[in-house]
Amino acid sequence: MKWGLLLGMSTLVGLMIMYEWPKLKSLPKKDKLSFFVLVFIGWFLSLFDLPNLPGPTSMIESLFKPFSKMLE
Amino acid sequence: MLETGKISALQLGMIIYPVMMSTAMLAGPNVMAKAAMNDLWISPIWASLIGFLCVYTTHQLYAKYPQKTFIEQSEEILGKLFGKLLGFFYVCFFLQLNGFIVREYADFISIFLIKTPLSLISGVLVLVCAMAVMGGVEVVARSAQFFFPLFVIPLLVMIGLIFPDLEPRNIFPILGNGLIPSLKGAITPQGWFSEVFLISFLMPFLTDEKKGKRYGMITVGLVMISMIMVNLVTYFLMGEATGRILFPVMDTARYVSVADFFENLESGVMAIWVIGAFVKVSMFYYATVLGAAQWLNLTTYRPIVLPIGLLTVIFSFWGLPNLAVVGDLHLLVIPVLLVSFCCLIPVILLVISAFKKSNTAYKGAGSG
Repeated sequence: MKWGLLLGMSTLVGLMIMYEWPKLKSLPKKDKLSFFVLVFIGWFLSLFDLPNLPGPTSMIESLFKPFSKMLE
Repeated sequence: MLETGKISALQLGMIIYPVMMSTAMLAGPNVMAKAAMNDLWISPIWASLIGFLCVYTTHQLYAKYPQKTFIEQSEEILGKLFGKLLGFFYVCFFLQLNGFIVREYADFISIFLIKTPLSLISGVLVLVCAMAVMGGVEVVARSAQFFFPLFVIPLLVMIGLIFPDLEPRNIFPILGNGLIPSLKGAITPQGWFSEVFLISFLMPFLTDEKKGKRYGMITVGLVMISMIMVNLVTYFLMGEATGRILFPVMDTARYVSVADFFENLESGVMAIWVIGAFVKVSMFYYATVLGAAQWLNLTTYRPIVLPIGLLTVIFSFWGLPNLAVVGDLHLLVIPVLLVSFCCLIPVILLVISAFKKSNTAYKGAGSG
């Protein structure tokens, strides 16, 4: 794990929350919750070495490869 | 209503044109020349059929369920549970696709900005797009409208400057190997053409709804003509080498040398590409944000703009270690994904909704 990345992402996320909070305050609970859940997912994912992990693209690839082979 | 802005049908066309054209302009001739060789100018005609079909389906769905985007339509057609499930897939699809587009953009820009990290290039683009998306559909439309001439005119100027060096005999023999090579060349552009499906997320906000379909069709036609033009010009200039050069339009621009004054126009191509990528990414971004907000039944989509931007940047790295993998996906897998999500599933939903309509009419008659 790279500590610099963790620190950078946490700062970014912190800034984002600070920027959005004044507008977010008056909104219903559901809006606040979705904002924080999405931010948390983003922050959490950024901690991994993503480029070398299998991701949605790998799933798509294995799903659609047979079709594209057919087309070739 | 999540969105209160209104746009005109012409603006819709001006958004969709760069969305379909920006990638095609840069890598298109290479992709099509690989499979179709000198018949590369026929491939866009085949591919555009998918585009016309997409506009037709999207418009039919919209006519059945007016004032609704695809995410809401699918809920009406498939019922709450399956509709939500499909909506989730669509939001993820848009997110991943947008990430992929951002990645392609960053990979291309990093040819020029060698030492800049990819994350910074994509982060800056997404931040600019986030500002447009936060302003709502009107801002997205107006920025597209403002950039439209800047996107089209330099391309025409470049073609004008290169004109004396063209060698039209390069395209012979026409259909020398039959129709198959040109059809194979149409596989990747089909994906770009099916992106016209995004009008589903713009149609509810049109001031002149009736023109939406017409402008969608016109845009697909114009994109087809522009693609043919770009393909022909690059092939007239480079001949068989088109299939081996990664970004042929860049090299075409590099070739321009008029009166020792107009030289090194590839920076102009880069500028056009940045404009195109901005419009494309902001449109996909807007569709993702609006789709997610409708899927979650939020009161406003503005708070989730930045988190989705963060996710877009993350998705632009996830599972994509290098340019080779990105290029490989771009050729076959992404087009198949695009065609199935933007064309096949909407067609299936249209068929289901046709059955459903007659069903409810029958029920209504029975109870009445």
